[in-house]
Amino acid sequence: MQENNIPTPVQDPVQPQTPPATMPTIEPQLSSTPPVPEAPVVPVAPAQEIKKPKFPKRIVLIVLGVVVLIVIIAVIALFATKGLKGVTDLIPMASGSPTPTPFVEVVPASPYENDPEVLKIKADLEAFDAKLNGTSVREDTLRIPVLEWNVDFKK
Amino acid sequence: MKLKLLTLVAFLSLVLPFSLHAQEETTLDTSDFASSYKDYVNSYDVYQKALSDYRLARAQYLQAGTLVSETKAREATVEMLRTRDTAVITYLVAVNKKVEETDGISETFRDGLMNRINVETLWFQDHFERISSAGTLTDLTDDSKEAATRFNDTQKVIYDALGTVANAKSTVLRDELNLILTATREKNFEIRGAGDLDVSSVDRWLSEIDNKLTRSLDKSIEAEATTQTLYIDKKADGLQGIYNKVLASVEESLQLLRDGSSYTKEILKVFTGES
Repeated sequence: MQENNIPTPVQDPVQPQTPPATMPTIEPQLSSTPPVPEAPVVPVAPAQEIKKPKFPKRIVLIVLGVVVLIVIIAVIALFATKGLKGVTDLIPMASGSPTPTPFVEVVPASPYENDPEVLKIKADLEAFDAKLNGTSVREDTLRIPVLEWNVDFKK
Repeated sequence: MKLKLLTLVAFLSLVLPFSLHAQEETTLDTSDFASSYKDYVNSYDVYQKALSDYRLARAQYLQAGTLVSETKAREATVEMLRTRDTAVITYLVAVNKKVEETDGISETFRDGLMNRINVETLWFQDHFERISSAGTLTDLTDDSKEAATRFNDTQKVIYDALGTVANAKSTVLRDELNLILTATREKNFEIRGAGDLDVSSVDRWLSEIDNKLTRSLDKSIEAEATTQTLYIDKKADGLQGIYNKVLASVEESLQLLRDGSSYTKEILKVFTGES
C-alpha cells in the first residue's frame, strides 16, 4: 500500500552485474627451453700473487764474503812479497842457476828508408791511386738525350 | 793601268778565300768540351719548351680540328722538330769534343771516330734545313720519322765514342803504372847490387804486377772488340746492353790496376824496412 502516493519508480529488472572492464593481464611468456641447471659451485682457492723467487740472502752474503777475502789475501800477498824483496836485498843470497837475460831483437833500419828515389816512387804511387779512385768509367754528363721521336696527328 | 788592276783583282780572288777559310776554321775550333756541353744543355732546355708547346697544340688540334688549330699545330711541330735537331747537333758536337780532348786514344782511331760523328752531325744539320714551315702535318710527320730512323744509327756512333772514351781512361792509367813499375824494377836492381838489403821477395811481387798489367790490357782489348759489335747489332734497344758490357770490361781492367798498385806498395815496404 502506498501511503504517500509517490509512485515508486519502476525499477529495471535486476540484471546480472557484469564485472567492470579490466585490461587483460598478459603474463610474460617464458621460453620453452628447459631451465638451465645451476652450475655446481666449486670451491676455488683465492688467487695467489705470483712472486719472483727471492735469491736467498745467505748465499749472496757468502759469495760477497769470499770475494772480499780473496781481495784481502791478494793485497797481503802483494805487500808480503815486496817486504820479502826488501829483506832479500839486505841479505845477499846466492842465486841459483843464471837466468838468461831477455834478448830484444833490434831490426836494423833499412838504408833506403829515406832514399829520395824510393820516396819519389811512393809519392807517384799515391798520386796514381788518387787518380784511379777518382776515375768514373761512365760519362754521366753525356747520356744520350731523351727526345720525343713519335710525331703523329692521328686521333 | 788596267793590267795592274786586273792582276790585283786576280791576286785577291786567289788569296782572300783561303785567308777567310783559315779564319773561319780558327773561329769554329776555339770551343772546348765545357763550352760545347753548355751549348748542348741550353739547346736541350729550348727543345723541352718547344716540345711542351707542340703537345698542347697537338691536343687542341685533335680536339677542335679547326683550321686555326691546325695552323698552330703545324707551327708548333716545325719549332719542335727544329729544336730537336739542334739538341742532337749540339750533343754530337759535345761528344766530338770529348773524343778530341781525351788522352789514350790512338790518332788513327780518334780521326775515324770523329769523322763518323761529323757525318751524323752534318746529316742532322741538313735535316734541320729541310724542315719547311710550309709543309703539311703529314709532311712534318714524315720528316720526324726520317730523323727517328737516322737516330738509331747515330746512337751506334755515340755509344762507340762513349765506350772508346771509357777505355782510354784505362789505357792512360795502365801506362802510368807501367812507368812506376819500371822505376821500381830499376831500384830493386840497384839495391840487389848493393847487397845491403834482402830483396829476395821483391821478384815475386814484380812478376805478379806484370801479370796484372797484362790482364788489364787484355780486358781493354776485350772492351774494344765489344764496342765494334755495336755496328753489327741492328736493334737500337740492344745498343745500351753492348755499351754496358764495354763499361764492365773497362771496370775489370781498372780493378786489375788497383791490384798492381797494391803489390807495388808491398815492394816499397820491403825497400823501407816496414816488412
